[in-house]
Amino acid sequence: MAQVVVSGLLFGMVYALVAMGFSLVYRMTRVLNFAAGDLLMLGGFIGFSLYVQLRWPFIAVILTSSLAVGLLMVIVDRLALAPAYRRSGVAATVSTIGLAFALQNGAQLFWGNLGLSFPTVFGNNPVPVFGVLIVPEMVALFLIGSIGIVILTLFMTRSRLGVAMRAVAGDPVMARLVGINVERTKSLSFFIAGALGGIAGVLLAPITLLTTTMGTALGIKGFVAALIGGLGNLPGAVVGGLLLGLLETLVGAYLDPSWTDGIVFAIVVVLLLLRPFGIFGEEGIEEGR
Amino acid sequence: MSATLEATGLSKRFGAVAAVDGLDVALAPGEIRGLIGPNGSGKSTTMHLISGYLRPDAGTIRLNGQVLNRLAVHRRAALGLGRTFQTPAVFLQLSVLDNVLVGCHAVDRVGTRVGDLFFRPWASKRVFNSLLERSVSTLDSVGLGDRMADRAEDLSYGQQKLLGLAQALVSDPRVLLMDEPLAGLGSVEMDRVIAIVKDLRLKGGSVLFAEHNVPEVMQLCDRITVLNFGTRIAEGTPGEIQRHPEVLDAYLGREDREEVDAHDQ
Repeated sequence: MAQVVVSGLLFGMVYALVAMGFSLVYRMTRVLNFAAGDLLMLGGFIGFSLYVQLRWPFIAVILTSSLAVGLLMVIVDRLALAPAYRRSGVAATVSTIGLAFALQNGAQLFWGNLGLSFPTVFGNNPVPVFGVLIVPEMVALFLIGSIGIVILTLFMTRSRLGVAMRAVAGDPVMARLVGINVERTKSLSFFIAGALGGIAGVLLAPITLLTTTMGTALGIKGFVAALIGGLGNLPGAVVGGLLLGLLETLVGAYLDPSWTDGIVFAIVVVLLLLRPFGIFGEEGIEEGR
Repeated sequence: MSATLEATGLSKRFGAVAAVDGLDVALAPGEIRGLIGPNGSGKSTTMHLISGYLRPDAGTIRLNGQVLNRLAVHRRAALGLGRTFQTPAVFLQLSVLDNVLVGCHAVDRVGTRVGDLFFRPWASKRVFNSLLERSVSTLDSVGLGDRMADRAEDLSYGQQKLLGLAQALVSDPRVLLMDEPLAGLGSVEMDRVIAIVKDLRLKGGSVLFAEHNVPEVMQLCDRITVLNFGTRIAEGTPGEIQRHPEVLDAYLGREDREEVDAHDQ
């Protein structure tokens, strides 16, 4: 049991990172970013090129990958998304689906159709700790992901830019009146979502096979994790991600692994029936302002 | 004495209606100017034109001699023009402290740009901390010091108005535009706002005070401008205004009745 809980929580960190980016973008722009999972895929492939082909140190690989995916998202936002969500969040949401396919096809051109396997960085052999077998790679994923979450939380609460972002999320018109550059803070939310995806992609790469279509399922699960926690709520996204990871491993371990997705989603449906706005969600978050 | 804030020939039309029509107002440093007039006489529009929320069709607005007409709202704020709103305009989801912190946005730009966090992290941190201190002392001065951690939506209507005032005061405005600051306040909160305005005058700041509460305006203001149909029908000391025949005719009588109505609500 302890074994299952630990591996579930460790893997849930991937969903937590996707969900945070998803929730942040939604809160700032009312756009559901369905390319969220593909940002992870892109981060993983960029990581592969830098780590395996160019042999960069791992920490530089993580930073570069997150910066690259983040900057790509800023460019995409400026060129394609901002002109759309200025008029309608729904239009921009559809644009992100287009972006997802564009990223997948772009990655195919670059890295080909075959899956790539990323070598292990921190070790793939389970190590017993207090009677629980843990994989060093998963622990690294969890720890580095946690550092990312702490930095983002500090940024949102203890920097002027973070406070400004929360002000824009609350009331963009007022925010403009007090002198905040609203467009820039919205672009920044896409940068952060991209950077989180870049980090998560590199961390995920050593424990999975890299394929250009791996992002689709991850993106949907990140969305579900954000919903469980309460769409737009950042701590909620973390809780939702960890909970989803836990649910998946529990179902996989005690019920039938091949039914994992079906059963997990059925549980999520019931959960959302009981709490339509998620665990920490607030009524009204879905009304665009 | 040269004026701090000077608007000349200010005009704004909405379709066929002239909301403000050739208005001249000049505020001396340390002056509290009342702006009164019946509903629809152009008080709020005047405030919007000066703060930059609306663009005038004609006329010039100067702050310390600098023409403001083409400047965006936040640039005017950075030059020392503050404003409060008739209905409390605060960020309901943010904490009380963060609301005031956001009000500092136009004062010092360090830490409000992405690059600052990477290239000037220590300066950003220092500015953040100094603005935090400044926000706390501003909140103390409006009497919300013990509510800093609460969400703005948990405050009463009057407290939200005080918070809006703190948001404007934190940038140390040279001229503060106050749109009906007393409306909806209890007597304790009203006294507090009046004390803050007097304090601002002592520091050499000017206040343009649009208000329905005529007795308070008569007590507080150095001079009063009376509007009707977007034009100035009188200007002078409270004593002069109270005796002005046109004002008595067009405005004060009716206002007294409105006040009775307001009390009944």
